[in-house]
Parts: sequence; C-alpha cells; structure tokens
Amino acid sequence: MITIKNTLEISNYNDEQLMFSISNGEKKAFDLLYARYEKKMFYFFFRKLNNNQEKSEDFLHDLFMKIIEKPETFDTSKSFSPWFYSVAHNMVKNEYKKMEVRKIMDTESDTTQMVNRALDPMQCTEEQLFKQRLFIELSHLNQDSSTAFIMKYHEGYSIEEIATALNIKEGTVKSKLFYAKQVLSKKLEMFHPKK
Amino acid sequence: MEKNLDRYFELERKVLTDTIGSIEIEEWKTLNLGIMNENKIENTLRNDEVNSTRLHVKIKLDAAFEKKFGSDNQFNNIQQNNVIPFPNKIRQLWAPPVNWAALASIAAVFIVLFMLRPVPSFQENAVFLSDSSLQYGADTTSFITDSLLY
Repeated sequence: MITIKNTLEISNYNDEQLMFSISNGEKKAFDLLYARYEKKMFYFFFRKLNNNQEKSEDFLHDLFMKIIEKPETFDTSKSFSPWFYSVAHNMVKNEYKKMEVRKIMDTESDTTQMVNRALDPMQCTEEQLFKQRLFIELSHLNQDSSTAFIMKYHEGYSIEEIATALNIKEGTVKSKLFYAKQVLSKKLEMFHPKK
Repeated sequence: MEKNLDRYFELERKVLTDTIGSIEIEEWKTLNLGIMNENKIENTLRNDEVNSTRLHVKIKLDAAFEKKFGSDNQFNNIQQNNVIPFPNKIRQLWAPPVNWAALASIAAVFIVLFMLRPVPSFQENAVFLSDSSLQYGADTTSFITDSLLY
C-alpha cells in the first residue's frame, strides 16, 4: 500500500524533483525519468548520428549513466530538459570531433550510399523518399542548427529552451532555424517544385 | 532582419495554434518566400518516429544503478548468495538529507520538556524539614531576614 502511494506521489514529481530523488538513490525516480526521456533522447541521437541504431543506443546508455554516476552535476534550481539536451548535444559534438580526427567515417559517402540504396521508386513512396532526403540534408547542417531544428520541430521546445540548451542567444537560435529552413527548402525543392 | 525573425516566429506560433488572422496570413506568406509550402518540412519532422526496442539498455542501466545505490531486494540476495550485502537504507544513514526545520522542531520540543520537568515543590520540602525536625529536634522557627542583622 505504501509502495503504491509512493509511486503515485513520485509520478507527480517534475523532472527537477526526480533528479533530486535520484541523487538520494530513489530507483523509482530514475525509472520515471527514463520513461519520460528515453524515446526522445534516442530519437535525437538516432537522427544526429546518421540513423545509426547501435551507436544511438550506446549514446543513450552513456547519457543516462551520467545521471547515475554524477547526478549532482545538475543544478536542481534550473530546468532539466535544456540541460539534458545540452549534455546530449555535447556528446554528439565530441563524437563528430573524434570522427574528424580519426577519419574513420565519411559521413557524406555513408549517407549517399544509404540514399542510393533507398532511392528505388518501386520500393518507396514519395513521402518516404522525401523523409530520407530531409534527414540526409539535416545531417549536413552544422551541429547547432540541426539540434535546434530537431528540438523545435520534433519535440516542440521553445526558442528560449533551445537557446539555454545550446548556450547561445535567442536571436541566434531564430536565425539558425530560419537559415536551416531556407537551406532545406532549396535542397528539397525537387520534391515540391514551385508553381 | 532580427525584427523580421521575431515576427516570423510569432506568426509561426499563431499558425500552429490556429490563431492567425486573415491579414496576418498575407504577411506570413510574404515572410515565407523561399520556404517550402504547407510546412512540409516541419510536419515531416513532427510526425517522424523511430520504432525499436531498447530493453537491453534499461537492463544495463538498472544494474549500474543498483551497483551504485544498492538494491531494494537485498533480502532475496541474502537467501540466494548467503552473503549479507551492505543495505542501502543503512548506507543512507551515513549521509542523511538534513531537514533543518524538523531538527529545529525536535530541539524546541526538548527545550519545552526540559523547562516543564518536575522539580521538588515547596510542600515536599516542608514535609522533609518537618520530618527531620521530628528526628533531630531541630528548631523549625522560620527565618526572618531582618533578624539576621542582629
């Protein structure tokens, strides 16, 4: 009975309260926070890391491990979401830096191969082709722009929250989003020719 | 440019919440020149989903959590392994979260109890004195402070 009561109470906690409970070793708090963010953070990594499922799962694991190992790095007086995205964004940025140094992965060739495999009109609808092309072009934008774009149009975060996550000014977020829209529209023009 | 961007995102919010006026629609179209029509890019992103199961990630995280903070099911572990693990509850006692308000309340209760503690009353002393006077034949005449002067 007490367990049910505690679970109900904890389900009303906001993310910041959950983080406080996690730092005190409350497993239920961790489970709840994981349930709230697992899907969206996996999506974020999946789209940022060229649809690489295995790598995205590793990143998701590492991201939540940071919460388990050092929950005190989060300031509970601040908003959790932007902080969490900022950690995830920095993880991706570091990964790209590593890839540039090692020259292991040629993103351009990988994505081109991926689209060449998929661009079979017998297998894909126009919508599917559009979507694939959209994410390829999105991956060619700079890291801040693509993160801002995903946060804004997939997750529905406000400009203010995105600015906090990326540690840039709100005006910069707006110009990055607008510029990204212009670039993507131009690149995807073949799917939607001007009348 | 910045003003235009502010206006652009204000109108975008109105489009999304379906609160845009007829005059503003024209302005929205003008600001959207060069952008793909019908919010096709944004809507594709909004409706996009990735379906996969990631149960193994959660299992690994659960194990890491238990390693750091201990398990709630440690009595089961004792039965299975015949090893007594250091219980999480006891571990937490070493570093309890301090609730200063609760501590202050408890301290206040102790102070009040201390002040209200039973002390020997005057009557009890009188009985004691009278008893001792019976035994030793002491003078039970009460002191008059002035008499000390003489």
